[in-house]
Amino acid sequence: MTKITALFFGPAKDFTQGEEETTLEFQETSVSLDNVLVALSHKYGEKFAEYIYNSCGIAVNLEYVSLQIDQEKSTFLEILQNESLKQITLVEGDELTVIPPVSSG
Amino acid sequence: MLICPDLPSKSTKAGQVPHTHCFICKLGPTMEDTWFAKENGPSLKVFLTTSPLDAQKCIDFVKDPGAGAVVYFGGTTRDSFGDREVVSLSYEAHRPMALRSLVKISNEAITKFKDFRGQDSVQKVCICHRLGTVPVLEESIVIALSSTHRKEGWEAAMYILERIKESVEIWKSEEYADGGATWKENGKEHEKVQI
Repeated sequence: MTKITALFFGPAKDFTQGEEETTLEFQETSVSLDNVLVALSHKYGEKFAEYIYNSCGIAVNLEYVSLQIDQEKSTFLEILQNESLKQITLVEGDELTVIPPVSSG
Repeated sequence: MLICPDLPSKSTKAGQVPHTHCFICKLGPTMEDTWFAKENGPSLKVFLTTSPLDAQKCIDFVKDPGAGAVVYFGGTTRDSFGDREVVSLSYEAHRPMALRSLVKISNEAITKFKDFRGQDSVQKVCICHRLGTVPVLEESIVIALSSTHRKEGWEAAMYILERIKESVEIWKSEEYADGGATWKENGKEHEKVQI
């Protein structure tokens, strides 16, 4: 069983009806990032998963993950083919943060 | 409890101690409405706050006997965007990541801008960013720094601002007189995200 927290900021909350945080549960003892995006798509729609992948940074436990992205805009199905997503693993208690393009300063 | 006098005036001033010895600043996190970077010290002051920013305090912090220049930037809420009247901006942040990024950028500037002898020119840096609602005319960000010579000071201040706008984990919502609001994105016109 893996329980992780996902945090949303700024325009990401336009997809989550204003929710800033959610808990995701998985049967396995660890979960790859592509499956986390699938879980988020179930909860908030595929467009959200596309927005995260195409436009946002993703941090796990406050560290940005590095993804190999070959094209500017991917559909949800194309996203699920991304090997680098499958290689990032989250475990119980991990925190994933969706970082939309910033508007600081 | 001994805390430094830089914290909001509502705090108990049980004693006057520098940031580095302040019980609250050492903890790093929340004290009422202000959050300090744990890396703060005599030459670096980085914080987020929902209180109005005090530009003079930032300038006073960075002044240094070895510095010939003090450079200040204040970003204020403008009353319009295109043809829409703006009444306020609202900011939210991932506070730990934003503080960490601001410290990183400050250190980048200190390392990058050297004088003609190759020595660090930037002496002290202060960056504060406001969170919550910022009405027109009020600052959402203050950057102040001191440098040995003016050239590196100007360049470092511009560098810091541009790097902040690229990467610091803070988001701004623009609120209009007609009741609408949009999330902004640095570097591009940002329409409400299509869902």
